[in-house]
Amino acid sequence: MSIALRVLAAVAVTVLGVAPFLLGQFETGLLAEMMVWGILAMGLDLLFGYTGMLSFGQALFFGLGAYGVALSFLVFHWPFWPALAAAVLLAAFAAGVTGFFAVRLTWHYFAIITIIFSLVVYFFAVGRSDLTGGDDGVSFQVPPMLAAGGIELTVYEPIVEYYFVLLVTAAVFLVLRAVTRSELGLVFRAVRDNAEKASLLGYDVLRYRWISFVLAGAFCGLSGALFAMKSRYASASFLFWTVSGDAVIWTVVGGAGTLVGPLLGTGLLIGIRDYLSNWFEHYLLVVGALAIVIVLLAPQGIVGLLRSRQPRP
Amino acid sequence: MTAILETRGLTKRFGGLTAVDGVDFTLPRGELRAIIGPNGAGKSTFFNLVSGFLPPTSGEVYFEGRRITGLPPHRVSRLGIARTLQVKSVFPSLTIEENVWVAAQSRQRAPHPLRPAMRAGRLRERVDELLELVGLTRLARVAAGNLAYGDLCLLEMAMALGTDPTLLLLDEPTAGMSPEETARTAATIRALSKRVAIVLVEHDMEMVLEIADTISVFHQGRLLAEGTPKEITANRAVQEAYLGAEHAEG
Repeated sequence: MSIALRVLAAVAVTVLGVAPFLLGQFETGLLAEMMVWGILAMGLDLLFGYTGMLSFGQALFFGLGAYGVALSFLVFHWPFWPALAAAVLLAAFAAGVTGFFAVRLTWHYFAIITIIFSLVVYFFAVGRSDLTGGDDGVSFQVPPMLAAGGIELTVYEPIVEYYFVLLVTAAVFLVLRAVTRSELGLVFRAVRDNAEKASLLGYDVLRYRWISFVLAGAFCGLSGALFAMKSRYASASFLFWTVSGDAVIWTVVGGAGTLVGPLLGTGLLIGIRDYLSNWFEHYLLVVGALAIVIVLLAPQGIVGLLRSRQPRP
Repeated sequence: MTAILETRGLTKRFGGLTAVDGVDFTLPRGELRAIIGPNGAGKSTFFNLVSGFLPPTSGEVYFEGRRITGLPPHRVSRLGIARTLQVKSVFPSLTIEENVWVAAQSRQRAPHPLRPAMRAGRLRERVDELLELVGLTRLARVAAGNLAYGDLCLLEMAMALGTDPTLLLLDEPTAGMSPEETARTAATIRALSKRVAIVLVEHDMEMVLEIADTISVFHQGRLLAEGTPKEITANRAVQEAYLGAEHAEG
């Protein structure tokens, strides 16, 4: 990494670290929301950018993560951490089952089956509105994450919520970075580049696609769980394909296969959405135009553009 | 002593076409065998059947006395059969050393989800050794997608060796090479054959006659003849098959 990029990264981390003291409550909350969605995009990046499987169905795992915490609180009255763990496990389990079928397909067939799986669950959720609240959704109370000796940490405290989200996002980033640089990550990239060759070298391609699919599902589930806790709300619309589509756009704009790119792309496009929509009703036109320009001019996204301007080591 | 590779009555039909027709093939240990034959003789299909890319219609494949008929490619690879493809096949966005690392790492139990790839250690030494062997050390950090054709072939060879095979199947290793590159590759193959059994499919007759211990001739899906280079050049049926094929092609 070049010195300029290092400095940029250091500045970004510092700003994120002290943001609640610099920004108003609305902006702090928005930053936390960007990070939560950023986890969804990073999860997709593992699958798409690193393993070469373009999923248009990550909303399925996002939505299941959201309902995982919602129903854990509403139906089972579980505390904070078990509910969070249950949500992630539910998403991972669903990824394990759907992935078993999906990874047997490639490219557009794979993309289509992921859309189908997520739509099936979406319509199921709309149909069972007694349980899920349908498109209107369900609201719930979030129990404290820590309550001991008179100290209580809850997401109702904006600063606690912000730092909780920041820590989780940082942890997800570091874990995913380690995974993508690991022996397993190298196999993912090999499978992405040339699946036939990977099988000739003794790798069970379907197995590694499946592992990547389940890991991505778990992280997208975590994103959904955090988003639900942040909104104290879950709705069937979280399962809708537009959520999957957003994640794809954020990832591609930021730079697929770079991990930091999807995080950046998410922040940028959500920022544009939130500020632009205040005075321009058709702000989606701008987002769409920006996405097209970036895909045409910088196929590796924003991060790819920054890196290619640096001399290669 | 059991043969390294043996097929019995190996047959593959595609609809009405019989690409491989009842082939009984035996490769003893430590032999460098070439498979030759006109286009469409079934050579590549034969490789596809042995390496698990295609299931045979009937017949059996044995590797070191063990039945491997119908196993998927990754299982066949794990038993010790490495194969290079006719169209050069690498991981283009990975560096040369990463390509070889992926191959060498494949013999471990399972890739670790957190332990970094390319780290120092026994595997790293093995990768460096293989790069040295094929002469690609100076290009170790270059993305494989940027390699020249001849270097790609060398990289493929290093990757095949990285899987520690006991049998190496080479599908036209010198196709498209210049005479110099062909000579260099032939020398490398000859040197390798001291360590592993090799079967190569090759069109370059000059090279085959020079380096192969024995030659199997395929014709219309059948094994037409087998013998030393001398025996094969003197074989009347082989001459006819080749002349006939050349007339048909011309």
